[in-house]
Amino acid sequence: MTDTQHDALRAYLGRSPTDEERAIFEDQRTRVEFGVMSHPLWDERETRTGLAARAPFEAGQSA
Amino acid sequence: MTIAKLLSDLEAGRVTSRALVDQAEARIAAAGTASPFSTVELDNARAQAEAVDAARAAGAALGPLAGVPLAHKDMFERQGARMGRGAHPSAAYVAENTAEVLSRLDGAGAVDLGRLQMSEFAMGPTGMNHHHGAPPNPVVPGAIIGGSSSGSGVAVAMGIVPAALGSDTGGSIRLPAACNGVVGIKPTPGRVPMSHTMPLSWTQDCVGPLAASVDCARRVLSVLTGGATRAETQETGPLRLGFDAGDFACDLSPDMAQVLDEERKALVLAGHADRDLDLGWLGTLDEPANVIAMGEAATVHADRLRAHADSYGDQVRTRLVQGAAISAQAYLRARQIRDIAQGKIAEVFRDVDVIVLPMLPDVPPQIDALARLEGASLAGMISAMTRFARPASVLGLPAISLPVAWTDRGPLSLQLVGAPCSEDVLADLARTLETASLRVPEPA
Repeated sequence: MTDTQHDALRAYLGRSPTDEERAIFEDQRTRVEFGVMSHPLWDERETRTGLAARAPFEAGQSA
Repeated sequence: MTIAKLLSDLEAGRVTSRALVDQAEARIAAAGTASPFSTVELDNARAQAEAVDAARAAGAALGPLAGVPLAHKDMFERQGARMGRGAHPSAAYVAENTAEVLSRLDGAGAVDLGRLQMSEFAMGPTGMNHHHGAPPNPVVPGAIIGGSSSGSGVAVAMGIVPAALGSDTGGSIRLPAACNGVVGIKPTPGRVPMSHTMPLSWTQDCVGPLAASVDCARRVLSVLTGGATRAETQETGPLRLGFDAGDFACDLSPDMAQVLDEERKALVLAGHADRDLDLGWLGTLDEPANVIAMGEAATVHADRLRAHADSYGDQVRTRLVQGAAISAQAYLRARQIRDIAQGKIAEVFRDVDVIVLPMLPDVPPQIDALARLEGASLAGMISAMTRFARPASVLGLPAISLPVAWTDRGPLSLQLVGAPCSEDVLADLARTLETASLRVPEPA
């Protein structure tokens, strides 16, 4: 857990988090972020921004 | 006890509403510690009942629930009444306003007996409450009562009231309905007003009835929706019914698998068309549903938690810490995934009118079985219990849970899920499932 995350959890609880609460926070942050950000339905979206599909430094791409 | 029978008796003069309140009081007192009530408001109930009795005697026009005693989950405000929310006593307060749903029931002539127990802040599918315990399951000895509208399911199953309001964010109406062998309707979000009700996850919260029958449930729902849903059953005509042939409705007990198969055959015999669907993708919605629900719940509870973190039960505080860990990006991505999933389910409903699912994988689990588990095993069992409830919640669909068979281990309930605002069709179909005439005849 980073200091920033610790401070955020401390502010949320209004006291210092216990070791167990720190572990829950870290586990959730890692597991859920990964699970949602790599969700299989994301590839089925109808409207794509193209941000992920266009490599910025390929030939033909310029600023 | 059904609303139709009570209204018939009231209209015929065989009973008064005041007498029904007295009968309920006696039953609550006799239940002792098994009572599902958190607060009994008899003074208010008697005043309402006597007003209805007087109006009836005077020949005045009466509402559709005139004189019928009801009771509700402890999360609906009534001006001047205590609001407990299943929480530590320090979280209780006296309400300054009245929830619109209670005002509508008052306007329909219903009598409000008081508030019913619930999971702490409506978080917890088993119905167990860290602060207040839980009443026993009145129909399945030793089984959990389900949550979070736990007292609503118990009060209806005990026959104290024919219907009770609950709320459903991830199954909190349908799960206690299934655990107590009663009917539960989770309406489409937005169809029932949420003013002055306790929020949990504002994009998924719904208010609806748990009831002794489909007819009871739809009579109450019709009042809640201001008449936008029908109180009466109509013939549906042939419907297109979808059944999962993928890997979503799997890991069922032999009893549940058999009942699902029998009901499918019976519905086809009754003239409906069945169709296999691949709904395996619904199983991927647990994570985004949880991110949305807990992210919003963590926001709802931020102020109270900061001031009184240790007044929360361990399990609820753990879930809120999990919610606090969700980043803005993860929450918004979960909302985007929900949008995609709503597009996919809209395509499914172009081909079918109703999806038929199990409500639980089996009869309601025993408390002892849950108590023996911990860590990942406990989480797995709870996840299995809520698996079939989640999709309708995160996708914003109406759903009905109803018992369709009783074993010596408890009731087996199915869930009917429809497109947004299809409550009438769901209730019409549920009514046919409720009738004994649909049983598949024994092979000759």
